[in-house]
Amino acid sequence: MLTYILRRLLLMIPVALGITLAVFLLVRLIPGDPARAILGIHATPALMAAVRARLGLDRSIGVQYLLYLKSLVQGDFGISYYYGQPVARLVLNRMVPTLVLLLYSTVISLVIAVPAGILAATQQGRGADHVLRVVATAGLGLPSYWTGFILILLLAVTFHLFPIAGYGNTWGARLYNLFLPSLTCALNVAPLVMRALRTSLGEALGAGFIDTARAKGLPGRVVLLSHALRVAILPALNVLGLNIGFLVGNTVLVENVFAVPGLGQLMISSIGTRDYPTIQMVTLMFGIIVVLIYLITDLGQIMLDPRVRRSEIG
Amino acid sequence: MVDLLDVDHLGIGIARGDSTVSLVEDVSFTIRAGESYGIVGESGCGKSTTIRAIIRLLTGKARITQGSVRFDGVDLAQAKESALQSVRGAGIGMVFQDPLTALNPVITVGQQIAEGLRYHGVRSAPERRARMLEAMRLVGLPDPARIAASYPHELSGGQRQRAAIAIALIASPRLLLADEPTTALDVTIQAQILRLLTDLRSRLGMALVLVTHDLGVVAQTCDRVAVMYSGRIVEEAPIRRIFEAPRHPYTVALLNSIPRGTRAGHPLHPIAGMPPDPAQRPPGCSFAPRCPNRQEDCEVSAPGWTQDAGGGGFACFHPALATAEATHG
Repeated sequence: MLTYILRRLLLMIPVALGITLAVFLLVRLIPGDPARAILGIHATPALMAAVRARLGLDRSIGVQYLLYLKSLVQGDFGISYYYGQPVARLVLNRMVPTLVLLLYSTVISLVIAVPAGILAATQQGRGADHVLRVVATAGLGLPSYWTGFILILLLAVTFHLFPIAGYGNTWGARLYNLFLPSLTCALNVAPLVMRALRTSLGEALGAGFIDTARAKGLPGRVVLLSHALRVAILPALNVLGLNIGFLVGNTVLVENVFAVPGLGQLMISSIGTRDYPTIQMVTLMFGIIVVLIYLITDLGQIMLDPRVRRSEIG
Repeated sequence: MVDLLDVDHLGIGIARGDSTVSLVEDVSFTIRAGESYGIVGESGCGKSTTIRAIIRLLTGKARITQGSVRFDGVDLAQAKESALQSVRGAGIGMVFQDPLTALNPVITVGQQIAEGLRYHGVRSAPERRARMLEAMRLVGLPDPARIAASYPHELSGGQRQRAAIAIALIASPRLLLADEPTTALDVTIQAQILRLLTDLRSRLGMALVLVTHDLGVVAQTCDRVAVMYSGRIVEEAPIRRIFEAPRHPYTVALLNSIPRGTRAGHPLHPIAGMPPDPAQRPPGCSFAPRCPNRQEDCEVSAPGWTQDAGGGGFACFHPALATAEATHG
């Protein structure tokens, strides 16, 4: 097990390397100049050249990249052009709200998707199943910046149930404040998990072991929850994991709609200020978070499914 | 002996569009306490459907359309779900055809065996575990403690079927239903499982209903046998009589189709043709289109039941002679 995790973590290195290269090049393709962003539109060409030289931007792209890699290896992620502080500290501070948002969305997704999936699978082809299918398709089709605004309008502005935006100082306040953004993210993931669960649970309910469970005299609820669901939840959790990875990109939008001081917000603002080191670091962090989420998903499968457990560790 | 199970004029149908297709028609038989009863027939003749209907585990949209299934004086065909739950496992146990799919892949074998007891009044976990280990020893699973902690994919096919049998009998049912319990197994394992079932039946005093397409299996295991064809019982008899003097032409054909002889040169005698689609049974005897004894009256109306002197009977207008042992020689 430990060697498996180590192997997977080592595999992250080439992925991270790829991310740094792609981001490094893409960032420099954005029109605009960091020196101009720092100095403003009235700066003299001489001053701008001096700033560029100080930031190392006057060297060739290849040299810049190698220098960047060299400092990365030494644990130096650079100084933010805009904030003037080490990027590492900046990013670490912004990481918590994003991680909370992701975790919170996962929980809300499950709370919505599992009961809905059970209902759809047990009512397959009947009223509730059709209603859920329509709702799920709608939830999937609506972009999160739109659902975000609608939720704000409905639950915050009209009914005053939740704050319009913000983060908060205590954990209680944060959970309260992050409810709407997390729900917004979850609405994009829950339909996929629900549909996956509907399929896998429908399949499980037709399996031979369900006959065996019923022939033992187990009550229907036990047959459903501890026999069918236990098998059917595995593919659904896999879909959840894959889509939480996808959700990481979504947090950029949602954090900006709800003014959550997370990585996504930092990313957008540093793109505005052409703050190359910050953009690079945030993107790298996003990449690492996605890879870690996939690793956790795979570890979850190994823990929950004895069939995989043996083949993976053996 | 007392009748343990009384299946009376059982009919099972499945809704298809606006009409109901009849899968099983007018099936009646009784099982006495402790006896072993076989149901044989080709695939699709309704034998599995019949025994699944006994504990109301019909698949898909199939429903009991008429008749009764009396167990202990209670009509299971009409019983409520809660009453069925107390009969399943504790009164009637069931073993299924494919041990590969019959066990839950993510639950340990031991838990799957012991679990049923919890819903049949055994509250104490240590007692459940003790009875689980005892049941595993009873079905001949080696090293019960280790296998109890294993998952189904870690066991062989034969071990899985033994575990499935342990699941079926842990709550001491008086009747065990076995739906082709050996079909999915290797030939050598088949013999072991059959011996185990026979052995358990005599040791535990259970009655056994064994569904199979293999008359050889019935010969080794059962006291009486019913032959089903196209949703009906066409012949029922004590096991000796079926082999010595089969009356229904379908039974004769089944016996002829058993491969015999160990050397080459013994031709196989398959039954020509296919059983009819349940939705389009011929108006008369369902077997008439394939029957060598067919005459005009066979195609007009279905033959009634003729009681046999030695117990059992048959449904045929032109049966083989009672002494016609040579017909399948």
